[in-house]
Amino acid sequence: MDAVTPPGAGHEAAFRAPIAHIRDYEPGADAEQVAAATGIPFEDVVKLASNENPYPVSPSVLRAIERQFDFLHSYPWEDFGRLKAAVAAANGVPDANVVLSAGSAQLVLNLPLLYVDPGDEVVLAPQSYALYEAASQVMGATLRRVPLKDYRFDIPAIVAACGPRTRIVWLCSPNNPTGAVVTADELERLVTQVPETTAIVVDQAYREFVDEDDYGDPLALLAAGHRNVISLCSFSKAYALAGLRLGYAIADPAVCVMLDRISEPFLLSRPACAAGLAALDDDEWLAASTRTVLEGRALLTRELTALGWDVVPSQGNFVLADTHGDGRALFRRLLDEGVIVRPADGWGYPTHIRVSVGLPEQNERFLAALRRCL
Amino acid sequence: MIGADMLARSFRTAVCDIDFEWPTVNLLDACRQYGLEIDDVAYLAANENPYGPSPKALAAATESLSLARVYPSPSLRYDELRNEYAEVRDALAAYCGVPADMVMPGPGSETVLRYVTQVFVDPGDEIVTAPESYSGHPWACQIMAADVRYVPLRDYRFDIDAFLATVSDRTKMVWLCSPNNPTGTIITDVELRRLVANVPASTVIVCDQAYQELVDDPSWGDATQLLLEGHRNVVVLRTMSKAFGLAGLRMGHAIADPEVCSLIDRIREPYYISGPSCAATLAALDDLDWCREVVRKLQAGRRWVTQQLTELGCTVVPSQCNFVLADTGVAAGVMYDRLLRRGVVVRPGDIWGYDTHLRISIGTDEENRRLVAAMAAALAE
Ligand SMILES: Cc1ncc(COP(=O)(O)O)c(C=O)c1O
Ligand SMILES: Cc1ncc(COP(=O)(O)O)c(C=O)c1O
Repeated sequence: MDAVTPPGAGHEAAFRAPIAHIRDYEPGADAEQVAAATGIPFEDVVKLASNENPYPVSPSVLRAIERQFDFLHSYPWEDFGRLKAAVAAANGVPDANVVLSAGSAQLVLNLPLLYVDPGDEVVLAPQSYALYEAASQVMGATLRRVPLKDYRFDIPAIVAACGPRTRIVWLCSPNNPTGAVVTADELERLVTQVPETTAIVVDQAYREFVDEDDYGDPLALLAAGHRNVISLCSFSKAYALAGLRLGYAIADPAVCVMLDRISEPFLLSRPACAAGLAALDDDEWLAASTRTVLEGRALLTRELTALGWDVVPSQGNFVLADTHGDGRALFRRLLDEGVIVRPADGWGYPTHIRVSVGLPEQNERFLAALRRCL
Repeated sequence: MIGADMLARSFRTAVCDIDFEWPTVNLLDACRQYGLEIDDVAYLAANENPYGPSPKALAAATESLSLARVYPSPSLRYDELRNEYAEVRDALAAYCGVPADMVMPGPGSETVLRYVTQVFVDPGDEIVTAPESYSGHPWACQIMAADVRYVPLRDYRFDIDAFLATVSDRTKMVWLCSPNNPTGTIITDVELRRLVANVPASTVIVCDQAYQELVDDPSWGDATQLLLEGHRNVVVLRTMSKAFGLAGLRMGHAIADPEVCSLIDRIREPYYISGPSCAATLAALDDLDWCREVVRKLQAGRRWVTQQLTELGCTVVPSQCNFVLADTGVAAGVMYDRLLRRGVVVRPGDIWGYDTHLRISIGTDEENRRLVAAMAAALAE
């Protein structure tokens, strides 16, 4: 018996029908247990569950943020334009190709507002970032779920799933949670076979961690005239600014005008604007931080493989591994050790866990805890 | 290759049909044009609070930067390592005198009000608002393809009779703003109660109270009170951007029935508010004396600017906000330029149909003096 009343059920004002279908978000980890069961202090808990960047934020970024603290009473007008120009320059595109947002997740929520009317379709993979589904459902989309194949987007199946009412194809490359990329060939094939009136969104939140040569670059396709391609980028991952909320889209200028039209006029915080500007100016920090993550990724891949696990080759700052056992049970045992990873059963991988790459000492603590658990 | 027409055809008609652009002031261009230094410009166009936030809020925001690299906890419940959102919710609830489950925080009240429309407004649903009010309300509804009905203000005030005459069973949502941006006028308790009593319970009544802290007229009606008295269709919007001086950090909230809050909770972005915003909000709410002092200064500035502009021959609408709407008798665009040349930026009233009015935010004493001097010179031109 399901005694839980859905939210809104008892209210006189009828809420929109599509809202009822949205699944509740599962937060990163159940850390109550960490505190209660272990008494481990916060500083010592190793959280490798939200694909955050473990590397300390660049000091130049912190200084830039603190300089904003005299102006917090005002909306960030000036820096908004400067940041847009800096993002455009960093991506080799004109300013008109850029839309800024308070985290790329905000763009995920806004894109269906631009494209999806009730009954329109979107194509997505169930083993990908969960917000595509919820955001599309807010606008009453019909979901066409195309499962991954060998942990990778199944491009022929996606093409086959697209019809005249398909408004958005959601791709994530590297994909969260599998870490696999869509290759240049695959992306090209998809873009040339899907109707031009379908938006092809490539979420590139993890693109800075890619070191594979045949990675499909949506910006190249956009430059080649495929105006329905939209790239989403984030400052949360490679730039380690998750807590400040900053992301952006690169798209055709006509798309950008429309996305701006449905964005709040003041959507970024002052600290976020300043941090983004300073972060784009600190290549050395980015190189050092990315190197650390890639080394950690290689280490985790090696060590987990040595345990006899199947580790999906990852291009993100996390690895998905098949433990050949109960992933959620292992997740719980690791919690008792003060280590938080992500169980993967929500994506249909009940024997897997997803581990974000930490600093070397965090990776070691995770591996040590893991050995104790096994 | 895709042509411009094809691309445009991929967008929702509702978005193509939005007939409103947010006013943008490119201050840098304006400075260049008139040879001004940006630091010398008195920017009185966005109803910001020139006194800024409590120093304790700044200290808390600074401290929070040690966590800049990680996401805030996504949950509004206490079940994480850190519980920023839950703590913010509790603090806002205590400040507003409501239970925590009636508070829905968000990154600015603008974003929260968008969530409210996404919960309730289906394509073609009728919503009622005033054309001379905050443009963010009809804009958010247009995105959801609402059928927007406008009921004009009367003598700069919400016309409750006309609202009631327009609202029907088909009305999904009514938008109020009290005190109102851009007029600064309030809806009285008597008016508010009459409206709420006569609108169907199935119609959502959103009352934007962004400027609530600046009110000193005892006849003002607090929609939160009506909500607490059992009018579950009332939704109140509040913000940290005005009296608390935190516009640059983006924090606002809805006060609503717990059911409505949980619906918003369901559609919001998981990590939507920045860490520094949470830290600063908690500290600011812990230092209400600062806010009270700032409000006192802004109210004094409001009285002084009103009196000075009246003496200059303007008709100033009595305001309960940190801005005044003044009829100068000269075309708004012309006056805007004349003031801009003198380094004072205000908001021309023509976007609300007030063709000879300016909306002027209250600044520091020095900024207010500059405004009055510039206005005297501009009117003499
Ligand atoms: C694929 C993907 N896209 C977007 C996001 C959200 O990023 P942001 O912090 O920029 O909103 C995440 C965060 O985990 C992600 O994994
Ligand atoms: C009436 C009203 N509501 C909402 C807002 C937006 O406030 P926030 O900064 O909380 O998004 C404003 C800002 O000017 C306003 O005047």
